[in-house]
Parts: sequence; structure tokens; C-alpha cells
Amino acid sequence: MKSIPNIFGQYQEGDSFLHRLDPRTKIISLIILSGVVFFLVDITAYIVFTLLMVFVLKLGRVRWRSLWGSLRPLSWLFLLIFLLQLNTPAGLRTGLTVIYRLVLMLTLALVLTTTTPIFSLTMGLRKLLTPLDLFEQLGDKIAFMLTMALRFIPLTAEENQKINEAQRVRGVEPSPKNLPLLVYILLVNVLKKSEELAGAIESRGYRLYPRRTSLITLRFGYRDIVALLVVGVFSVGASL
Amino acid sequence: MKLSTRDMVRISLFASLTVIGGYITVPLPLGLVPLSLQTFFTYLSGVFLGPWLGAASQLIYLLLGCLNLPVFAGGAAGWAVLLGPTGGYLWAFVPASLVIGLMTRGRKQAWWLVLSLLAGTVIIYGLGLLQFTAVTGISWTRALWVGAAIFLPGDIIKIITVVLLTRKIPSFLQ
Repeated sequence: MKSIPNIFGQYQEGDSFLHRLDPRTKIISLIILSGVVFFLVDITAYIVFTLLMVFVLKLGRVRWRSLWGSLRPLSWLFLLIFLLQLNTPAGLRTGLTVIYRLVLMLTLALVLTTTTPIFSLTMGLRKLLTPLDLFEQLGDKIAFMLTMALRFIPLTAEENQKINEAQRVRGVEPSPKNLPLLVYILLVNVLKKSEELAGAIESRGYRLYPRRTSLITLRFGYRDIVALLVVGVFSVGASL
Repeated sequence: MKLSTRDMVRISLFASLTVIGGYITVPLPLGLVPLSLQTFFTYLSGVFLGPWLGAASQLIYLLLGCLNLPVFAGGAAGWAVLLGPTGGYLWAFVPASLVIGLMTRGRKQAWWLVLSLLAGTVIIYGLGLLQFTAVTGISWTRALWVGAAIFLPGDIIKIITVVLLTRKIPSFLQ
């Protein structure tokens, strides 16, 4: 099993304009701009978008090295797409366009992760889910499940590793034939754990009280209005 | 929506199992593409949690990805993956789990399980290829090879495993 990368590792401490933006602004901008990438028509639009990205990267003081680091894992996919396009007419061009779009989208996502710590990202997403609270606090429930799933990931990974080691000692190698056995043990173990957890939560009287307060509060300020305006004007301009 | 604490814990558990599944690979003989257990837990979530909770667990999985956590196969993360060429396979987890859950609710004979899981597989590849061809502009026939056919042996093994497992989980854990 490959090791699970450090999930908090991508954030870079800093105090730039982008760091101070409300996470909601950043999430919304990311969604809008990722969409715009698909509507860039000619080479000028691509150049303008690229310049904007360079500006944003500078604004968030994102290191080039981390950009390279986030693009590298997908290089095999780039290569595959490129090769598959090659023997169609105008394939070279389409291939390059598709790959470049992906690079732009990855860069956008990278800007969000490097300038937003995971807790404000969670908070931002939680706030964006607020409308769901109309359905019996569904927003709170989703946030609760997300946090719980986050805690479960290392637990499940550890459990899986233990089982694999224990079975290997007995001479059971991971193979299709042994798969039912390995997964069965994993499943029963984690299901037992989750039963215990559910019991523990209930017996401690944890409930999702409405209007819980939290340590961090988000502030939507003039910066966010400026940023959203720029994104809006740019999106309309680029896709026309 | 009525969700008990136990339901919520199970939804989170299957979301995290789906994450872990993406990191577990089993080598296959004859140089076939190694099988990853990611869709395995998608299948299982439908069979095991039922349609609604199963789909919810896959939705939570996608939301983890939206938080830019490296939960997708190979440590990839975030919006770029969801919107990129391979994103369709991931979106498809939710309807796949839903359909598998609806089909297998109260009806768990082996042949019917196989049929429902095949339906789930078709949904995953169908939506996956739809986005793959749309984003990359590669023709369907070619995409069918790189985007589906090479994974099929792995999927057959996964389906068999799910069927074998479903009968074995002790009832007090169901």
C-alpha cells in the first residue's frame, strides 16, 4: 500500500491578499474560473487567462516548486491524452489544448489549497451548505460526517496495514484469491469500531445543537467584493 | 432528513473506506492493470448501507475531495480532478451506489447481486467515459479501451468478492 500523503501539507503559512480572503470567495471563484477554462476560445483568451494565473500565483506567493509538485502526479495522464490525440487530424492542437486546460485548472485548485488552511476551508464549505439547514440541520450533519470521515481515514488505513502484516506473517499475500479474506477482516473490524463510536457519541449526549458557535468566524469584507468583481468581469470578458 | 448517529457514523466510515480503497491495489497476473479497491467500497456501500445511506457515503467522499484532500486514487485531489477527464468516474459513484442499493434492497440472491453490481459498473463506466470523451475529445471507441476494457478483469474480481462477502458479514453488524 502506498503511504497516504499528509493531508495538511499543502497549506503555506502566509499573510498575502489571498490568504486574507474569505474561503467562500475563494471556493466560488475557483468554481467559476474552472468553468471559464472550458470557454476560452482563441489563443488570446488563453494568454490573458495565463497572465491572470501568474498574477494570482504572485498575489498568493505560491512557490513554483509546489506548482510543479501538484502537476507531476498527473503527467502520465497528460502523456496518455496527448498520445491518444496524435493520429487524428489536428490532434496535436487538441491534445495540447486539453492538457493546458488541465494545467490551468490544477493551478487554480493549488492556489486555493496553498492559501487556505484546512479548517477555514471546512468552515467555508460548511457556510456554503447553510441553505441545507432547512432540512433538519442537514448542513450541520454533513459537516459532522466530513469531520468524522477525516478522522476515520488514518484509522482505517492503520487497520488495513495491521491486517496485511498479520496475514503476510501467515503466508497470505495480497492476491485476487485472498481478497475476500483480507477485506472481510477489515470490514468486520472497522464496523465493530464504528458501532462502538456511535455508542460512545450517544452515551455522551452529543447532539447537533442549532447555532453552534465556533472558534473561527468568517468575515466577508471589501477584499472579497473586489475579488469577486474581478472574477466576474474577467469571466464574462474571457468567454465572449 | 432523519439520520441517526449510527447512520452518520456508518456513512463516514464508508466514505473513508472508499478513500482507503483507492490506495489499496492488488496485483493481477498476466500483466493486467492492477485492481484498486476504490469502486469495491462503492459497490459495498450500496449493498450494505442501502440506497440512501450508500449514496450519502459516496457524496461525503466527493465532498472530501472538494476540500482538496488527496482522497482520489493516487493522491490526486480536488476540483481539478472532479472536472478533469477522469472526474466522471467519481461523480458516478453516487448514482452507482444508489442504484445498487435500490436493486439489492431485500433481495440478495447471488445472481441478482451480480446483476445489480454489473448495473453499477455500467453506470460508473458510462458516466466516466462520457466526461472522459467530453473533456479530452478522444473518440468513444478508443476511450472504451483505455477507459473501461483494461479495468474489466479487476471489476469482475471485485464483483465476485462483494457477493462472497455479503453473505458472510455477521447479522449484528448489518
